[in-house]
Amino acid sequence: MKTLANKRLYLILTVLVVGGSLAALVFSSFTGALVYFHTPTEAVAKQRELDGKKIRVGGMVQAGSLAREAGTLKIRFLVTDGNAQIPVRYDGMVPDLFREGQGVVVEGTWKSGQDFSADTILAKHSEDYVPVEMSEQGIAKSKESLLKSLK
Amino acid sequence: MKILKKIQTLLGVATLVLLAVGLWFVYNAPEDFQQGGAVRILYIHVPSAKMALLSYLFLTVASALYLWKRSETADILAEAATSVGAAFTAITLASGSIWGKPMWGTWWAWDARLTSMLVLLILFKGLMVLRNSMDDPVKGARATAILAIIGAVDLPIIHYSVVWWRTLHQPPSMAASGNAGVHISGPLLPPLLILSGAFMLMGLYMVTVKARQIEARRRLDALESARMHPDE
Repeated sequence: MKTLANKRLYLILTVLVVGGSLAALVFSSFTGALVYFHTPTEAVAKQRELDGKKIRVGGMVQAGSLAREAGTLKIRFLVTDGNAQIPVRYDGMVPDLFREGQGVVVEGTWKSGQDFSADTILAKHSEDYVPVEMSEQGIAKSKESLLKSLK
Repeated sequence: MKILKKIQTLLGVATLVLLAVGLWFVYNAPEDFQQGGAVRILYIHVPSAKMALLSYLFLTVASALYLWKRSETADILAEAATSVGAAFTAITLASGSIWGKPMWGTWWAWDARLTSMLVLLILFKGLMVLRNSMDDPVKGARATAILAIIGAVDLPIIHYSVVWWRTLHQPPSMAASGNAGVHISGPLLPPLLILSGAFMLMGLYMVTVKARQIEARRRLDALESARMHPDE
């Protein structure tokens, strides 16, 4: 049975949770806190400010830049937005979609003069869905869409 | 409300037929050039997301109508749309999570799209709790309608989140503005169109069933209170 006091408690909690999450969302919309990652161009420009902080950088895995250390899960690659590039190091499992020429968001720290040291790698794919028989077309399209979404 | 009884069966049958046709198309859809078979989650995820937003839009209109005309029908439809919308929002979040783990490499990311969609679920559930926490059903209906209208600010935020901010979630694959055009090629497209239609019918069917149930419950409540307080 719900008592009157219980109902009031529910009411207050609901208003707090709903109102709070709405307000937080609207507030963060205006402060730019909803931007999920920096582009390589931004990260390079703001490197002094971001130095040693935990940040996310999103871009594309530069074609031909992926190097694996034999016998380990260690990899090294460049993240690019077509303008600036950042060298990234990572040790661990990568998502299925992680590959050269694909979108990626790396999470970790970047100390000046060193590689970006990633502790999480997320794959970012474009909005293009293309049957496997039309792969070539799909690769060209998704590259274009990804670069557009990095602006 | 009698009209709902008549269209309920018709809606139900149409939903089943369209769902079956849509799933047949999904089964026969080709693999995606990057995601392989996992692309099929799209066919549940996107129609659910559309219905989650449409349910809230419906709820907003019904709430405004209730506050304006004090029509009980509008309030019943609003209450029904709240439950249905909550279900579609939950399906959207769950299917997105199941899709995100293998493709993105994470179940969840606090990006603008995912966060604003989670706020929508909190809104739907909050509206349910708010209505139930009021002893006077009329006060409950008014408070719920007002909160629902305020909460509608989340709809444009969800819709444009992937355009306004950089997100892990990709931009819309079918957009009228921005990156205009359809980004789903060849035989990958028809299953989405058919299932979007099927989910729309399913949403209408669910609102119909739920609205009739709510109306019956309210009538029972009225009878019960008349029996308990015969002098009033």
